[in-house]
Amino acid sequence: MNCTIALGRQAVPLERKAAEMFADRFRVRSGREANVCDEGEGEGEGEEAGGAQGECLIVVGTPASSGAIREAVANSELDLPSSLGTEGFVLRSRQIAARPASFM
Amino acid sequence: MLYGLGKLLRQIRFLDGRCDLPELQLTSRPDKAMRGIYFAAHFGNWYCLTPLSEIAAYLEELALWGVNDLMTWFDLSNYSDLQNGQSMLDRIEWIMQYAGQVGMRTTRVSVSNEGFSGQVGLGRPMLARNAFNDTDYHPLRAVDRAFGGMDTDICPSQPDGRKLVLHNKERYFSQLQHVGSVVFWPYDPGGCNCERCLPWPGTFMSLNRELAERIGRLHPHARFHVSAWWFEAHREGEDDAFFTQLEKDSKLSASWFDCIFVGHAEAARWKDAGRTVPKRHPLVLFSEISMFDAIPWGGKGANPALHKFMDELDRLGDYIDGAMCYSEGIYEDLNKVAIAQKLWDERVNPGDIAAEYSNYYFGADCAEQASWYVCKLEELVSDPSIGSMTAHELEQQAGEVERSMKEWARSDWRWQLLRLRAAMQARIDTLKSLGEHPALLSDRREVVYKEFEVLYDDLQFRLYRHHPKDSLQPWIYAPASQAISAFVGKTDLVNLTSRK
Repeated sequence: MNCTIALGRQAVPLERKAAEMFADRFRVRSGREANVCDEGEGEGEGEEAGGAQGECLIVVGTPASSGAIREAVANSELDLPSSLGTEGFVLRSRQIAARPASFM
Repeated sequence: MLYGLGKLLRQIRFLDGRCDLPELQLTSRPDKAMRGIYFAAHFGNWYCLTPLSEIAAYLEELALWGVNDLMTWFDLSNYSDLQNGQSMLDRIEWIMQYAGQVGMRTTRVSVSNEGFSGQVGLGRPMLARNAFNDTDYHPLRAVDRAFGGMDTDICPSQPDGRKLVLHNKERYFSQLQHVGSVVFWPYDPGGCNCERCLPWPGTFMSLNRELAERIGRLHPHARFHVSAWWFEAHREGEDDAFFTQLEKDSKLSASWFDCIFVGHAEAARWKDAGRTVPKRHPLVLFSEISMFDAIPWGGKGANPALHKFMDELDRLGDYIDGAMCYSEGIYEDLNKVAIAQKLWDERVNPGDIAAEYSNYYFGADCAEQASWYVCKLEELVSDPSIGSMTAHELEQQAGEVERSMKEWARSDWRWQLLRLRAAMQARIDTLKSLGEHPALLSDRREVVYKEFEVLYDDLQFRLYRHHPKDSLQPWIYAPASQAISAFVGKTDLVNLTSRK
């Protein structure tokens, strides 16, 4: 299972750093590829996020930084500011077309 | 964000040829606001000597476990001036800027009345009342600390002493760039027990307010905290004096400081006594996770004590709003992780933490075995007499676990420290039992000692990066022959109160 980590177009430096840290550790432990890309680089927004090169797609960001996250939050019943505070997170993973995927 | 990605990484099961990612529906926020680590970079320990690239990797790991604040201290007493300490100053600055890159806040310890070496003293511990007055008296030197003070500490109740303290702090803080918070520290080192300074909490808080004003001019966005570490430990009435200061502060519409750092002793004593700390001053536990199990600290390898620290946090509950762990190195990594997890989610238990740690660092192939080993090792560290396995048996189990590990896990220092702990204890136990029959088996003793020496030197030189020539203190490094003597109970390697 290779891995693609997609960042929003407005990703802040900490999001990019976190994605790179994830990719580094994924590579070591799996012996597979892990790449960080920006939204729009070979993949669209939304849950299908089609076109990504990896078998595992991880979308990382906040509603402010990522269209995919905005869309996912809009389609959920999450009240982010009250449920997460400044440090909290939402983690979802599911199979999409026989491909495991996650978003944060 | 970082903790969330770390959580995701730790949920993946990295197996031979595949990675299993479970379906997750997790929404999470931390229970406690401050989840910090204090890198005690001194005496030539791991934080002083390890390449910065490794420190960076370590900071990243801690961030992935939810650590959100890094605290450091530049110990003025080690240097005659800032230029003389430039190398350490630069190192700490680099570490702090990298902590910022991985999302951590940065906190500076500032011992309120500390001085440079050579100003009022030479940087010697004050292990007696008015130590060194007979040989090199200085009128501005802080007086009468029987434990925990340095001869470089300055009396702030004397006008010239106060000027010197303020001048030192302005010089030091003018050199810094990454100042998120400053926490003023009262003791160990610090303090002055002259008649004008007593009670010390009163003098300390008045000095701190003045220091905060000066430092605030240099770093307008800095937050300020105060520490109550060791209040009442050596002098009665200090708790009352400190709470009198808090009452005065409560009358102000806005306070100049935020959090109060306390040791477990202070927090438990205050809680038991029903003392109420104003809500605008959250309590942060200064949690000691390093200085137990062995001297030299970490000298037997990892010292997992998850239950001990879970219990401490459970006991304090909502009385505290976070913790800053005192760390002397990497050998207490599991304790750091355990506290960070408990602060994020108070419902977590030691077994959950050991399992998550093992899956992530040692791989899914052996996570269950490794987690079991960690729990058994914890029994050995906390009290070998009640543990269900001997060190020899545990050493064998470590070998079994290792056989099913991938190379990336086997070569990880975390596993090596855990494995070494049982292997060293096994040799210590053997040498102890052979020592009870000195006339017998001297050849056997020599063989076991050599095995111990190899393990010990591997720990000290390869994993801890210690350099025997860097004038390390015995609580950081001692040669194997001295260490084993202490471990089997023949000598007291560091008797900090022997010069009273």
